Amino acid sequence: MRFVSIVLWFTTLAIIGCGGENIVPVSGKVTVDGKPHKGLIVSFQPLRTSTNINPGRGSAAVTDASGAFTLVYDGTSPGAIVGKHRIKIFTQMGAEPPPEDTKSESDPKAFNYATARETIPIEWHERSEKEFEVPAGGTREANFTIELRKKNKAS
Amino acid sequence: MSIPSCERRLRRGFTLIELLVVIAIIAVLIGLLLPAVQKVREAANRMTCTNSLKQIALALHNHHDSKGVFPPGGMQTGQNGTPCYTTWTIEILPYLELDNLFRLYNQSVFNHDLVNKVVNQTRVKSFECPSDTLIGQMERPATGPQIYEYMHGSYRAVSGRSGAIGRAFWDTFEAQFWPPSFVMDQSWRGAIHGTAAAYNGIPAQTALGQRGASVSQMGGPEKMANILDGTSNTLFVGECTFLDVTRRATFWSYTYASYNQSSITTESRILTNSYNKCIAMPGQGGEHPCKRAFGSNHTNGTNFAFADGSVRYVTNSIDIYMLAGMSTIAAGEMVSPP
Repeated sequence: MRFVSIVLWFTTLAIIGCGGENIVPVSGKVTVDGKPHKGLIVSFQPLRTSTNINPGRGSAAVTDASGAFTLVYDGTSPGAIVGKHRIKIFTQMGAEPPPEDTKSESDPKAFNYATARETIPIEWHERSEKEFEVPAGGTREANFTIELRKKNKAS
Repeated sequence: MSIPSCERRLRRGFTLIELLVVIAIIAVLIGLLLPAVQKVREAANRMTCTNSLKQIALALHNHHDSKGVFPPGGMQTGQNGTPCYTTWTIEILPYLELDNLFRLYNQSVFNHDLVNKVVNQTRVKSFECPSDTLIGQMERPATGPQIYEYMHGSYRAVSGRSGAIGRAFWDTFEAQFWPPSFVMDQSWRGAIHGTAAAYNGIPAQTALGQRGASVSQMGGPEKMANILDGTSNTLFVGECTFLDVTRRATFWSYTYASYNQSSITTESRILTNSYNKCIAMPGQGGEHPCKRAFGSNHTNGTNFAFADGSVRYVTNSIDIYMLAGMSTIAAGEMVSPP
């Protein structure tokens, strides 16, 4: 029993004590024109500070039917690095065929990339300047509201 | 008198505890020593790797000195999927003291032509990093017009920044993916990228791709003067290898698409030596940026040669936007290397 408890102590210490990276749980919700959007990719990349150019790996997640997402750090553990991140949000275009297309096509790989279009405005991915500060305790309120460009023009 | 003393001597020996303690101490010492040896070995490999990158960077500069331009990353003839001509690695062979090998290569036919098989299957020391598990092995690259096996390599040119809707890359011609106007974003090109201008007797290419975009948009090989961001702040060549999907790893002489040119997408998943891990993570363009990854089997980082000829170690946890800024030659970012 004592041996087991010692081993347990050491493993806990190894996991807690030596895990240099500060990863905290981050979740939130994305709404597009006020409605939740399913299948959007939310990508967080930590930004350098004046003293550290190696802030760590990025986190990413895909939104569910309610627009909610929970970030996964570097494809391994849930969460994101504490600190300032740059955010990208985009459709899965180019990654996977959208579900509507797979219904009509017998081969999902026949999805036509050339005619598919990204519906999320470019300032949310390619030219993104959006930043988000992940607090030390993590957050459940990483919420983003996207307004489509067409609507802006109309108003 | 002699018998008891003999008995005494016989009784002297090690107890089980003593024996175990000695074994434990030896085990600890070996345990301390072995990783140290491994680390020294890896450090030596890394140094060899750095040296090769330096040789490559110098060869690229010598090419510039004699021809006035850096070599083309890969000579495209049209839309992604069409065959290609020569590539940067072959063009710098004379500057790596491999003029004989260079003469064996026929410039006027496609890269995958049977005539060029001998060159494509030759090992070139300068293109191999000793930490790379694939060096010295031949395989059929996963895609493209290949009809025979190619020799693996370890280094890829940095063709620029990529990611416009995740599928726009400077190694190959897919301008239909450059939004919003389907014109390639010139500010994202790197020092060594896919070209369509005339070079070494091969005429300029003007084929039209999808959406009527012309391959000529890729332009020609770059000059030193075009590196407006400064040669010390611009990536030249980096390492790329995969432990899992080896047919997606680097093939030093294979011009087609991304097998000897990668680019920086602003997602840290592309800094890896595991193709499967990269594609398992959600991101722009799915697996396409993973085909253009940078990574090595060194601990947590990758060597990069910069356009000024220096070689620096970039960790996998670097600010990816900083690396993306350094991947372009004229986007005007204010970033300096680590």
